[in-house]
Amino acid sequence: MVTTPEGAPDYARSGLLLSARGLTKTYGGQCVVDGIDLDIPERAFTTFLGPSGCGKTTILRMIAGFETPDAGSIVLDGRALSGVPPERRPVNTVFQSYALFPHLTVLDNVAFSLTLRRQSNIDVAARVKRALDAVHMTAFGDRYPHQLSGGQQQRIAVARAIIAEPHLLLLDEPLSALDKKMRGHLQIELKDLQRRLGIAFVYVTHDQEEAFALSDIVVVMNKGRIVQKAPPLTIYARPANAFVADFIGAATLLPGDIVAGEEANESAAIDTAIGIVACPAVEGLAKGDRAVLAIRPEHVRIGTDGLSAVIRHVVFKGDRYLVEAEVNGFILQFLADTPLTPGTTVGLIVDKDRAFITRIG
Amino acid sequence: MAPVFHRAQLALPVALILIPGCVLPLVVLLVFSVFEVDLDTFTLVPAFSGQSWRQIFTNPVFAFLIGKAVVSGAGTAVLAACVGYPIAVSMTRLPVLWKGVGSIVLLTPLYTGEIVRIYAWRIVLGSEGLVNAALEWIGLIDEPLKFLLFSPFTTHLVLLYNNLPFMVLAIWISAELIDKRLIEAARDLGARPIDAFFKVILPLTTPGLAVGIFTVFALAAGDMMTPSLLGGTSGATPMAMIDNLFGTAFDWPLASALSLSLLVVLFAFATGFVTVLLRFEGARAVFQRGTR
Amino acid sequence: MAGSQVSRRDVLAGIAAGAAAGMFGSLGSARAAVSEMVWATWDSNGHPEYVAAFEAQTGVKVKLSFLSSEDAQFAALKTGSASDWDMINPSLNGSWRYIKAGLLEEIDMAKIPNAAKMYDVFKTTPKVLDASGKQFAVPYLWGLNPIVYRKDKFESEPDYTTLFNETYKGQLAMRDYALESIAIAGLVAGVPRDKVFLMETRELAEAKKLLVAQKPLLRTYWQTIGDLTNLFATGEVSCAFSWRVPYDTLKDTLPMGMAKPKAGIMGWCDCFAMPATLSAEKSEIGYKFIDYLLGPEYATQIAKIGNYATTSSVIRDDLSKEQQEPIFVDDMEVMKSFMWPVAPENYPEWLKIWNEVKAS
Repeated sequence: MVTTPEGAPDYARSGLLLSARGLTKTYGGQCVVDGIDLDIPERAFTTFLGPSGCGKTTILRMIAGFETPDAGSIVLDGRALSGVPPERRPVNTVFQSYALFPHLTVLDNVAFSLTLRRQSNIDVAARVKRALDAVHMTAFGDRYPHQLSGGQQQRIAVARAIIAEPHLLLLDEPLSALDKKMRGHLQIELKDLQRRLGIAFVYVTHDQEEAFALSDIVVVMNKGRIVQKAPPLTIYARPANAFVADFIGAATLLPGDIVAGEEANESAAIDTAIGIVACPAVEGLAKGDRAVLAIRPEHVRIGTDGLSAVIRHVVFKGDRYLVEAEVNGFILQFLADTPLTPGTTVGLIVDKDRAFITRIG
Repeated sequence: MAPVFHRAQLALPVALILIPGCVLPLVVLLVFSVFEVDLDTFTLVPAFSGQSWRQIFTNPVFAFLIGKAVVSGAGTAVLAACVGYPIAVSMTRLPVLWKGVGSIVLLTPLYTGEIVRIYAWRIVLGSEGLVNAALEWIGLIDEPLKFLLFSPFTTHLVLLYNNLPFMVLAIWISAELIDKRLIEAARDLGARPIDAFFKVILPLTTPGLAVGIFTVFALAAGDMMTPSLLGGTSGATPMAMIDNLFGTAFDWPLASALSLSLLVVLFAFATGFVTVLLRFEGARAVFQRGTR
Repeated sequence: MAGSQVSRRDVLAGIAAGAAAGMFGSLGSARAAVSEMVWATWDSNGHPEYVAAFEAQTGVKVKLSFLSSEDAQFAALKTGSASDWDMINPSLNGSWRYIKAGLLEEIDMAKIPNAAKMYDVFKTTPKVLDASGKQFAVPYLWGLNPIVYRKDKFESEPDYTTLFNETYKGQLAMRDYALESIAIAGLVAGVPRDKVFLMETRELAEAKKLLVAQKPLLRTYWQTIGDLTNLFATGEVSCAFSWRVPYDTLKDTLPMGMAKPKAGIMGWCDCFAMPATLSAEKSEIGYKFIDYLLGPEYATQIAKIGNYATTSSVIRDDLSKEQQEPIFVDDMEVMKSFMWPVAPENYPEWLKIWNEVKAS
């Protein structure tokens, strides 16, 4: 296990590792990162989640020093990073394409940052071994990158990035090129590694399952802005708006008007195409506001006295069937145990206690 | 049944072109080199004479001229590599549009005819030329610098200028193929730009460098016009001598023997250069990438 | 199967018939009339306007094919790669090579009326005859190769020793040509001009020594006359063994001078000849053409535009002294001091020496 030579990081700064203010980046007139404020705590696994082009990778590259912000500042360990070249930032990166040096062996790849610092050979060898141990690749030291599988290459890329003991490890969609099984394995290993090393990971992905599986904090981004920053469970249960709700999991979104809402007793009601539904109140939404009712497929079931719905599409999902049915001109998704015939009519009951109101945008 | 081709059979068309186009002329040269000339009728007489080869090995003029060509070619290739490298690497950093412009500018010397270029150099480097006039005007010199024109300096300057595009293009393409993430990865791991250059860019561009050195060496060592029209009295080349022997002297056997000797020596040196360069792990990595 | 064989045979027969028709067709047209003659010559000898009168008189078009070097001309004829040439241009000094190699058609001088007006030195030269005295080429154009120099840089007229004089280091040029350069060195070494092309090993060694010592004095060796003209024009060279072209080209802009060294003037002379393979019809036109070259129209044109004299005296007496002087026919004594550079028997040795000088 790799530890910092100075021992534990300085927790005196209220556990804050990185703080960005007003971070902005524009490419060819298009604002990719739009005035973002962000705090990243020590030792946490933070994930930027969002569709491609939302600015998440750009933020990572600005932290690494590959991109210069047009405006705003980044402070890491209490030190402003403005003007500091990548090689002098206490962060390391694991790239989506692995970016292993094809002309160097695994050992030389992993030792790359140490050899630049002219460390003694014995010290380098010991540290390379520890780093390779950490990613279970000790036996592959003499291979060249092209002799390794994708998953093995990514392990080496991780070993190479952690050997210099960065204060912050940046991972840019590191698992996106791997097959699903390998991805699952490495997710567990990465999470485990992060706990053992005790350093902060900042991870970028567009895969919400991956984000939920790994993260302490998920930062959902859209169009260059942060939409929601919260632990995975909060994001799942209480998406800040319709975009988050939609992005993090298949949910039916029904627009409607708030018809009743009392923050005191934390309950509200919304008038939608499927009728008036009572839900927990949302801070800042009051009677008369336009909002969205989100219903997950798993919270809809078939019942004789339910809403009359016409079956449109049926998709086999392995354990069950995902069904799309039309109710009053809106599509409602739900899970069924048996294949239903498109065109037939069923009654649907929405578990109104599990549905929730969220903002439109 | 679908025909199954062995790899060797696939090489057949290439062999059919190579043998008559490349090997046969060499065989002809070899045969001619042992013939004799009948100067009464100006005909080649089939014979088995070692006369030409004896001359090649005993008269130091031939070894001197071939050696001169090798040194000239190697010198130009090394100079072109040193000058061309920074140009090629900076071209990879240009925006796409400027890369197009850059490659056009780079190839400009090749669009003009060689003779035009040679006379242009005379205007630039001559005793009353632009450089001397400028130096005299700013008072750095009183007498024109004669070595600027008709000297080995001129020959190599112009050989460098003529052949630089081939070096730059070869390295540029090689550098362009390097994944930019590799350079970012190096910087990320603590490499200053100079470290990234020596540890990543240079090793991975060795194939381009090898192609560039091979090309420039062959072109510069084989050039006849530039040394003879700009090198002054130092402009003797084995090429000019071969031309002279084939034409004026009608000594085809000696001309053949000299041609073959020159070819063998140049080929040996060029192969040597490239072999050494391709032994570097960077070159191996680039070539193995395709055989995974 | 049978059908396809028959049709293939038909096709083959058709191809053969077509080829035969083509062959006879071309023979037929050659018999009918000669419409065009290809003349391989130097660009300075064969401007289109020089031959316009001939074309008008005979209705035969003269197609010009310019030579790059005498050696290339010889090689092309020798290897048969110049099958379209009908008339060629060997030098007076080089003719023996073509004659010896059997490349030329014998010429009947009786068929050339204008030959009567040729200067004696050209009419009687043995260099265009074979061992048995048969003639194979006709000299038609001549000149001399002077030393060209800048009058402002030299107080007195230079001679060959000037080209070896330390005082003029860096301003001199020699032609990159074994025959003339070694001959000049021989003259400077004191070999008389009638012996200079017969130099033996010892004398050649003397000449070589002089040439090696001369090398650092030279700005460069010149390759083509355009090259040398450029060297004069740009001030790189102020004195060189030359052709007259730089003088003619630059005399209006620079103080150019032309010296005819007493030690011996290197002359040149171009000949007309026909390839041995030429058809009888074409050689008839060839005779008309050499007669034209020795006649007044060609002589007038080339004296006016090219500053060259033909070997015929046909127009000499009609020219003024000022017109005679630039083409060297004002004082016919000049012909007596001519040296005709001729490749000697031991020419391979000369070439070896020249290559050694250049590589020294």
